[in-house]
Amino acid sequence: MTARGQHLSDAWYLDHASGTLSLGEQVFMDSHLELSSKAAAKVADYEKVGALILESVFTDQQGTGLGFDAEDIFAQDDAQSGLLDSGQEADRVQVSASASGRSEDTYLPQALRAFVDDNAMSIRWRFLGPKLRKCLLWTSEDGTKLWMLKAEAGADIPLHSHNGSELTLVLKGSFSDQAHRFERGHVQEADDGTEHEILIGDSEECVCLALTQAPLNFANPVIRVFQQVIGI
Amino acid sequence: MRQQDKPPSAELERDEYSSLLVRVAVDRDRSAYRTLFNHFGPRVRAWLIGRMGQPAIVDDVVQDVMLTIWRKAGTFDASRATASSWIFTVARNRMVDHHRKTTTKIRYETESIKEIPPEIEPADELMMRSEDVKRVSEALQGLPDGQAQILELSYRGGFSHQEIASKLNLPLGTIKSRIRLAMQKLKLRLGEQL
Repeated sequence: MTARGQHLSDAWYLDHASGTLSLGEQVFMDSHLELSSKAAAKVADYEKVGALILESVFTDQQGTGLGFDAEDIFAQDDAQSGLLDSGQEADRVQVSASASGRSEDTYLPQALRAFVDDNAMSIRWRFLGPKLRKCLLWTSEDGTKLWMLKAEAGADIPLHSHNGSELTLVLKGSFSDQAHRFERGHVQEADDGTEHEILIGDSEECVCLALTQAPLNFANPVIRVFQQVIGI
Repeated sequence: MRQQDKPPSAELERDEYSSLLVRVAVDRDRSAYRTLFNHFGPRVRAWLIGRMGQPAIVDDVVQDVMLTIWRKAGTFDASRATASSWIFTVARNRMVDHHRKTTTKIRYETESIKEIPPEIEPADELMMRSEDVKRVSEALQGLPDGQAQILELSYRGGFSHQEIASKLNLPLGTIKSRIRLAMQKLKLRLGEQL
């Protein structure tokens, strides 16, 4: 199954609302939600279901088990607000200034930029193939990768299929597969077995954020050997 | 436990909790906060116990949640969310933050699916609750087993849709379809609440 356009299948929005995403998935989804109001509305619906479930959990109405009350919260706030006033606000301003000081990556969603800054990473593009560059951002224990692809205008990503799901979010430029054209903010969801060839738009370079569960299966055996080196 | 404001004898309606949260944001109204605390504190704790397991850790997270509600009430927008929806997202975000810091994800890994406790209240325990809560529980209980089970595993068990597919030994496409159908049915049954 492949989903195209402004939103993914509902399952991803349920995962986001229920708090079951891995770190890499979370960064991808937060980036996606920043660029799609329709997707954000879907998450809001699932958060409402979560709220309804929260309302319906069993409690004894007397709050037994809570070892503190509202007065403790007020006291904690009073105690900590002095610390915030003196030091932490200054730190926040400094971090914020640092994060906004870039100009070359203005197409990065805030969630992705924050992830890069929080982990003290720098965006380093590495060779992936002719006219293609990659930047690996995160790898999970099970091999899921969050990465960015930068492709020159008119580049071609040869026919390939997927062992697991792959989510792609266009951050800059555009690309087309056999049936659709994807622009900034659009997402593509390719499930196990989906086969496609990607053609980058010829007017400008294209940058995508991708979440890939397993290495791609390229039809070309030469590229399959090459994959051992490039690691995608 | 000190309590300057007793919990209301009857449950407030959802809109009233939103009004209380606005009073906290605008007036720093401690009385309004106490009512919110008495209602949501135990519920947040009960939900997080199901998701995180260890009461000692959960209590720290609940305290963080309730402090955030007091401090950040100004970010609540009553035109876009209800108090319960906003508080749910605060609780979820704090839980996720904790998981990220500890890189552990405590769930019902050693239990079979059937052993996950049915935490939606039986109908007879709902008699003293508001009509809203009754409607929600009935709507959730009215979903076909296959759809309700997925929501249970997600919201209460903490499993992603891919993990659910694996655990139930069902194709990913089937899980995705059931999630979409469950939301469609809940929207039909709950109307403006969703």
